[in-house]
Amino acid sequence: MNTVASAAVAAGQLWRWFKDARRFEAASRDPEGAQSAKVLAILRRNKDTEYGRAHGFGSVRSVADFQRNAPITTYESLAPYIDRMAKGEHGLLTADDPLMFAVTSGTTGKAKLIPVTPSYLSEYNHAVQIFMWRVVQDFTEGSSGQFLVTSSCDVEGYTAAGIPYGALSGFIVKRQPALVRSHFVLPYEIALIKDVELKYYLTLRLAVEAPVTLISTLNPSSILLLCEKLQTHAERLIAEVRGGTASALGELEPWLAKALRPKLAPNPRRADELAALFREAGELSPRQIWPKLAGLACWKGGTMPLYFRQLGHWFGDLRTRDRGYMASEGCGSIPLANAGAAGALAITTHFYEFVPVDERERPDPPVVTCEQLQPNRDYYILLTTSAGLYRYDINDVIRVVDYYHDAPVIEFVRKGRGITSLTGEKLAEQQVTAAMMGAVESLGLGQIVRHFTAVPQFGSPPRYAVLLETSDSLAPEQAEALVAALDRQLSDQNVEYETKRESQRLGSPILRLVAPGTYEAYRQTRVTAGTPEAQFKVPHLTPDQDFGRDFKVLEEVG
Amino acid sequence: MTLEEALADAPLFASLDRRHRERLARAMTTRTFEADTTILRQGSSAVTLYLILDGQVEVRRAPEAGAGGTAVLATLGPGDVFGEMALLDDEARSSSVTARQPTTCALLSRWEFQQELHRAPDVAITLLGVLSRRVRQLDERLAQYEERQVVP
Repeated sequence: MNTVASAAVAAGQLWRWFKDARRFEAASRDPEGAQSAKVLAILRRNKDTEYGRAHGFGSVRSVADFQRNAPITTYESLAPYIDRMAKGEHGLLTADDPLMFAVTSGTTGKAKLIPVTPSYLSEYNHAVQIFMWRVVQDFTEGSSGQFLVTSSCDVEGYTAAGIPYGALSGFIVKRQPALVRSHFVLPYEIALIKDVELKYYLTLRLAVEAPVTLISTLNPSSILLLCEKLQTHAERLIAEVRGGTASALGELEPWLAKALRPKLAPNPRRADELAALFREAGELSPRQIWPKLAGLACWKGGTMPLYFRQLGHWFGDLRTRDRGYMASEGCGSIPLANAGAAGALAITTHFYEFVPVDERERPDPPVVTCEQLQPNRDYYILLTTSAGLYRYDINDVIRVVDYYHDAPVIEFVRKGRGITSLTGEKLAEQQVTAAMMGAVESLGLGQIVRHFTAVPQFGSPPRYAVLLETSDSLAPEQAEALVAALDRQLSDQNVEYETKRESQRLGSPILRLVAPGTYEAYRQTRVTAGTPEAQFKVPHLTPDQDFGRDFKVLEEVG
Repeated sequence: MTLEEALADAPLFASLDRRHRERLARAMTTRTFEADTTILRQGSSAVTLYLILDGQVEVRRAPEAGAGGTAVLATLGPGDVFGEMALLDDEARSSSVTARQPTTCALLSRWEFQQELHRAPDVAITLLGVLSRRVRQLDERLAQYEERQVVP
């Protein structure tokens, strides 16, 4: 393509992003109207489906009509329809057929399949494009380079009807216009690599030669892992950049290796630069090998602060934008600023309803729409999307922390199911995350905690067992101090925990120090089992008492 | 009172001419908070400035976000603004704000606020004064705190 044509295509792409952003801007001054229009459009399109007929979508004229006609759903209640769609039946939940099914990860149980229809993809891309428009506006210096965007494999297999299923992230990357993809460091094929070690190595192999200006991945732990692998493989990377080789290609299936090989060419000049940086600093610092790096984009809320904080070691105070509240089931927010982890409710993307957390257990809990949300109160969020999810309880808790014009700015607080209760303490995952961060800080242990998971353990007394992988060995007195500090911090975080500890109904936590590499192996196991790599999260609290039963425990303290 | 009149009465915006005030009033939205509502929480994301039109709020700050032992920094009423600091430095909210009584605010987003700073340098100069007063108040409180810590 010549320069003029390229410029025209680029302008066209920017224009599309701008149009999406402008539509969102206008809607932010009338979120109630935008949401009403959104839900009515979704219902109108799907009124003749089996589900639409059963719930009178054709007669719905308002949000109130919809709430009267259609029940709140869960995956389990929609699964019979989705299972039939996977077998090739048409017109069940959605008028348009799915292009693929997005697989969502769960810490336990069967994976869920979310129908990705053309209209759903369009909704999702709308939110992504507004996000991208904002990023391009705010990270202007970043737009001149390439984005290191990670994604997962979108074809893990095929349903009985031959419809592919896999990660939505890979599918979205694959369907980006060529111009947008030309700004990505990684070709789509990298997403297809199932071996985590190989995938990270080849990601780095391509990235160290690229003018990376933005790193974007959902989970900050993926960025940390990249930085660590960069050190582990520094000399090998430099040698292979020099020779234009990548020995790891030999471990891939031949067709995949063939697709990636043209990306490699001898680059002695870049190898010299990298070698000089490595000699000087004794490591390959991401800020030095990518001097034009303008920012990071990753999740910062929920259980992510533990990992997000560790990014400072590699990136200092580099600006980081949250990726927003997003899942395979839908997009919930569009971050507008770098501070914090909140974003404006994506009012032009899907339709949202909310149930106050403290009223959810009532027989007939109140359901409110976005204009009725109270600031700094916690709500469960319900989604209605063009994927055929109607009033879908995704089991996530959000909170309004600010407003953008009239649209609420929300942040993800926690998973609803992240709550465990051995004796009525109702401990939430984000409380465990905060307690561990507070404990290591109070002891000056810095960034020693790599990964951890608290597991309820019934016994006499019941207690929490905390599986912990550290970056360095802990002296016995340090481990004991950590148990005590964690116990104190949990009491500070959760008044019921404190009461139960004081009354000895709950025992002190115990630490189970696990072997180095345990969680990396766990990540690989989950990915092999079908969890999209980009979606993988280490649970900091799990109700699954069997979690980590096969982990190699080096020592038990407490 | 119209939004435009409220802007004319607010020290931060009083120096603006009518044209600027009209433009700002068009960009603003209004919202009423019930008494005891936490409007802003320390440590959270920030995209909006709040101008109090009616009611009263209390500004509190904890030593660290989420920690206990908060100190009341200020009580603000009609004409006062809060939430303006995060709009300048792209940092999280530096304090929490709670409505002491039903409170109505006019909200102005960061981007419209910054556009206005570019258009009307007077706002920037006035804002410097507001921020300077806030720093002075913090210094005074710090000094009082340190005095209390001195062993007699």
